[in-house]
Amino acid sequence: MSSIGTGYDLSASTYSPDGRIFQVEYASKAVDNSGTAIGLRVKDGVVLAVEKLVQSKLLVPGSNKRIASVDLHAGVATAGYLADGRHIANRARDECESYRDNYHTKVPTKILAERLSLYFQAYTLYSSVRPFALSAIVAGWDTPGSDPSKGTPSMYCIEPSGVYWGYRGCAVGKGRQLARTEIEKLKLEDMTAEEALVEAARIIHSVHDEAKDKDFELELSWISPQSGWKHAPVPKDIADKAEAKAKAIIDEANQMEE
Amino acid sequence: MSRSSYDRYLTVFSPEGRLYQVEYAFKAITSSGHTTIAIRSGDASVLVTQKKVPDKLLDPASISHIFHITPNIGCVMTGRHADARSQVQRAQSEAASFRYKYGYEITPDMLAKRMANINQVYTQRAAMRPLGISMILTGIDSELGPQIFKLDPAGYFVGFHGTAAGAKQQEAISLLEKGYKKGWKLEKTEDVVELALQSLSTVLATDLKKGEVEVGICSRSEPGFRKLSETEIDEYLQRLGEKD
Repeated sequence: MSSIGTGYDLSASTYSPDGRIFQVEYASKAVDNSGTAIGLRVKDGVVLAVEKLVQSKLLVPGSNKRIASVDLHAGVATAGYLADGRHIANRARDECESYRDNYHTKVPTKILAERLSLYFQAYTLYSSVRPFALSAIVAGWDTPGSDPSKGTPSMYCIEPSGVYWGYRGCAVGKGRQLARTEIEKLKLEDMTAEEALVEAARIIHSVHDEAKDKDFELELSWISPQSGWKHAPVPKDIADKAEAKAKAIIDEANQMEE
Repeated sequence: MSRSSYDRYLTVFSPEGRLYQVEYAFKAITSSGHTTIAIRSGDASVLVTQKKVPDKLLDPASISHIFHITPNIGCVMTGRHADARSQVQRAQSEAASFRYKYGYEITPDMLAKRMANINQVYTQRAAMRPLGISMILTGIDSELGPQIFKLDPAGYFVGFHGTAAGAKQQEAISLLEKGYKKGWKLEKTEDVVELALQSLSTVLATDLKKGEVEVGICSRSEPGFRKLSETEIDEYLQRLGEKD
């Protein structure tokens, strides 16, 4: 029973003697090395936050987004290879458009997540392609009728193997263990998206490892009453306020410890 | 048993005539950690499986291993979950295509045969790997009554009176065989559900709670395949508890 893989880990179309597919497991490791991404599903919306590690000071702030809007009502945040993330965002956009074409309505988030997961899974079948080194958090607002305020929030997390589940809160990437512990403490069903914004900013700041990675940018997006129940990047002024509040809470906590 | 070079390539036989990659795909089913049991009687067929919610943040409503293929045919999947969803998608597509081409609903045995043939192709073409799942299909055949078919990665399928798949499949199958030899007293649908839940509980050596198990049933008395709600499952489990 070799957990190293040796020999069985060269392609996604090979099983190991204990029935594992190592290429898919290695793809997950790539996700674990990337900047943290979290999602919070609250009573009136969904908040997505990404710890965007900045490689160089010459990079334009706000560029290289890791959260993409794939339709008016849905967005995808990714952790792992940036390039794979862009590809999946494009695929998600195609799926949304094709659904609208066929069925004349917005794609339900559940179905979008299912289609993306099947796409992920398809790349784990052949030796000629590699699995996506990506975990995707798909967030959406599903409106049964014409009144968006009567909709419900949805959030799904898709792993490189194609497995996906619905979540109330989830975290992927480097700081996922710490982030999950923090998220479990929150009462998500009673929160509003505005409150969740501060919490998300706080969690990302607190899981960021100052020693290992110097600079990072906090990328926030949401679906909330303030955004008209559409998936959109959080407007700069609101985002800055939330981030400032979050930093203040962390500083307070640090001061109390001292 | 010289495994070394014969077990990495799908289309290469070992000197003993085995295809190791297919056998490893079977291991993926038993190492999934879930156990599934399926039983049928003259009146009804029942699928039960474990429902594990490992993470507090997960939304339990989104977790299910029992799927509808058509309104009348359902299945339970054991093994690699991503492969499971892909196979369910394929089965739904095949069933819909059959309905469109021939004008009537596909029967469980025809669907099982079609899916099994697809599985066999994966064991013969080097480009694709076999899917690490065992699919147990069930439905009411209009001429033959309730049917249960189990499919495996090798492309084999056969009908069963009762079967199991997953981590504890050996124990479950032995338990069911002993029971079948003695003779099951299954007069109503409720009896089949109770037997299935009782068997799962024995094999896992725990008392089941309502959030930990999923049940899908097909019965002559009501049309279609459906999943039991948590309330209904709870009633069955209470009754089981009282019996002991």
